[in-house]
Amino acid sequence: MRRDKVAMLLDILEVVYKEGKAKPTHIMYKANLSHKLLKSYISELESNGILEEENLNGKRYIKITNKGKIFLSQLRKMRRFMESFGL
Amino acid sequence: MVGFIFSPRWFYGIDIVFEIFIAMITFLIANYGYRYYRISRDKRYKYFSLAFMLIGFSFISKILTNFSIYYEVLKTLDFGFITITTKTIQVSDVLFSMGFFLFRVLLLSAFLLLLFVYEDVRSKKIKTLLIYYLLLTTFFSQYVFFIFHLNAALLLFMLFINAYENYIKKATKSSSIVALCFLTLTISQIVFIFSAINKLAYVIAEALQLFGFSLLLYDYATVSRDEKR
Repeated sequence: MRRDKVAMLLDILEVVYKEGKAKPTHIMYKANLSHKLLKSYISELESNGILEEENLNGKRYIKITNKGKIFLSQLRKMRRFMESFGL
Repeated sequence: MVGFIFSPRWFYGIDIVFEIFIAMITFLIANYGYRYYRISRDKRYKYFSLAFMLIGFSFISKILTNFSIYYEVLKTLDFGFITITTKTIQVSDVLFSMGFFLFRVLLLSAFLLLLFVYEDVRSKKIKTLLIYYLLLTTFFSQYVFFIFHLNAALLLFMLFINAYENYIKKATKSSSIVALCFLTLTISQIVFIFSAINKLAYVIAEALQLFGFSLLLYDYATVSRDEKR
């Protein structure tokens, strides 16, 4: 079944939340997304204060913010509710 | 006047309270669906939200119409001048008919829209044809009232089949609640048909309808509660 945008955002956020911080390539594999799509979603989530970047030893990591944790919880709820309708 | 009232006198107002509660539930779900649409930008959720909004507005239309009818009837009791009241009701007949027509059109449109979302109907010709038949049958349901309830029951049964298939696929508590909701609503519409014969049927149908929509609220609450844990 085709994943909608919410499902893809959820996959990204779940990876980052579980790992604490994750490299973009790691998120890309775990969330099963193309580089282009991941880049656009991460940029959208960063601009909304849901994700933030961290540079450690010259390597780029993505972290979830407190606002992001609340958003993730809401998104899980919404997804589950919509799934109960079969959407 | 007889054609408008199916409720027993003791139930006047109680049905209005039931329907206010139903409208609130549907607006809550419509809002949720719209929030989901704003994130996903998937049109299915926009139509899902719109369908629940239409259900809410249809009940508001019924509430306002019923309220004015009950007011007229109760005024008759207060004054006891039957001739004066009868005249008032005759004047209002057109308004009552319009109110109920709006309720029926909005409710059936909402169910049809939900079915379009589930079945992923894309053909504009099929959509136009179905909308045409819906309007036609709703118009004639003013004269043969049970046509409306039959149409509603049929649409709801189709929605139940979709929800049941989803339950078979997912086997979650939430999906079973939604399937049960559509089944309860289907039964309520069938029971409504008998309200012209027995006014108690109207009470049972209203109670079933309230229970059906309350299941959606329960589903919403369950999902919210589980997520907090």
